[in-house]
Amino acid sequence: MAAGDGFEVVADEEGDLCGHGTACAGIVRQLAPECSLHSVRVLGAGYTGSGDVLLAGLRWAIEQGFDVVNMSISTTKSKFATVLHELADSAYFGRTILCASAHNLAVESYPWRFSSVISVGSHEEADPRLLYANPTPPVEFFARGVDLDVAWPGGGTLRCTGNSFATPHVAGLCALALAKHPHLTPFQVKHLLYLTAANVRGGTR
Amino acid sequence: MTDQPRAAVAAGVLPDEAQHRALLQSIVEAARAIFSAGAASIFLHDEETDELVFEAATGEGGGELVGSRIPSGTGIAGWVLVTRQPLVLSDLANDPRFARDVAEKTGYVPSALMAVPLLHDERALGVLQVLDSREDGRSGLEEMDLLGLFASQAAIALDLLRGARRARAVIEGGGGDIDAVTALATTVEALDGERRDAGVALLRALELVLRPS
Repeated sequence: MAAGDGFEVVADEEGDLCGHGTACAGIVRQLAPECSLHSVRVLGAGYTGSGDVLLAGLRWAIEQGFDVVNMSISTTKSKFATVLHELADSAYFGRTILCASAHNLAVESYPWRFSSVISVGSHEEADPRLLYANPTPPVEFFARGVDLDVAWPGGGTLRCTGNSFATPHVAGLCALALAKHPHLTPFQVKHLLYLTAANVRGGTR
Repeated sequence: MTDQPRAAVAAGVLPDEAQHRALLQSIVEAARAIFSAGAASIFLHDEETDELVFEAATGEGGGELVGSRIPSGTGIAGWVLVTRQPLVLSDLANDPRFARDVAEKTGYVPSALMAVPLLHDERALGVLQVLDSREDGRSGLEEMDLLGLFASQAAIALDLLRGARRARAVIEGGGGDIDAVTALATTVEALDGERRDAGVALLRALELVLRPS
């Protein structure tokens, strides 16, 4: 399967090398148990060149027309920002929702800062369906991201904290919304998340 | 050209690597103290080999670690480096795979681990890890923010160390603009008598002319 830029997306024999994909997939599955899940592994070949691999994997996922893509990952390299921005916009207009982890370190990073993605930080409460809308973006929503038990390669769970784990909660909620209302656009799903956030009152009058 | 003048110039224009190492060491020691942790360490990403190298470590199992290497794309540190996302893991001792991998490397198996990427400008330079921080009522998010502050400091220190090493490699290995300075230093060093005095006077005058006003 060609993904452009000289990369080819192929069936993976090695599986999850670091635990990241397993943890995120487990959270999505917890929220949306009946969803169909596909993993595109962009980690594990080393750090060098990982940005290009990330772009190729994302481009492939958008081309496949997946409804929701979880990205508990970001890049700080500005050379990738333009392409990532174009990919995020093409996903948005093509009805693929990108959920991307924000981070609170004092550097610019992407794609979570783009308005065409849904950016996610962490709250500290234990309810996996509880969302807070952030009145002062660029981080748009806060989901469960502290002290949660996530699935781990080889079986069992591990207790984790981080925005990487908050993001798939929102991806799972998006999948649920689209399962019931498949006609919704990414804009409408984001609006729905806002209206169902615990700190938003009287969204419809 | 002998190595001695090059080393002399390097020593004159660059801080000693030991100073940068001391800075990194003080950061891991402060992080360990603030989090009441069992150990803390800093990895630098070696771009040539695409590996993570222990540059500073303190606490249990730390002493022998400095200089050792792990692949950059695997393990918790690799995960944090590539995703650029900080994370905290606990109950690690219950995970047999993790425990075995770490124990083989360090002889010390932590039960909890905090890791944050060291980001400077656009680059992910390495990873700061704090092992077995004590539960003291701090919330997870506050700890992450505090770890982020240490990460900013560590990233700057790591960037200084990288820059100094690169400059030293240029000076000692030849090539680049600075090589002209080292060549000049070598030539003057070889002179004696009046020619040497004249050469030194000329260099002083040149430095005065080039000095920014």
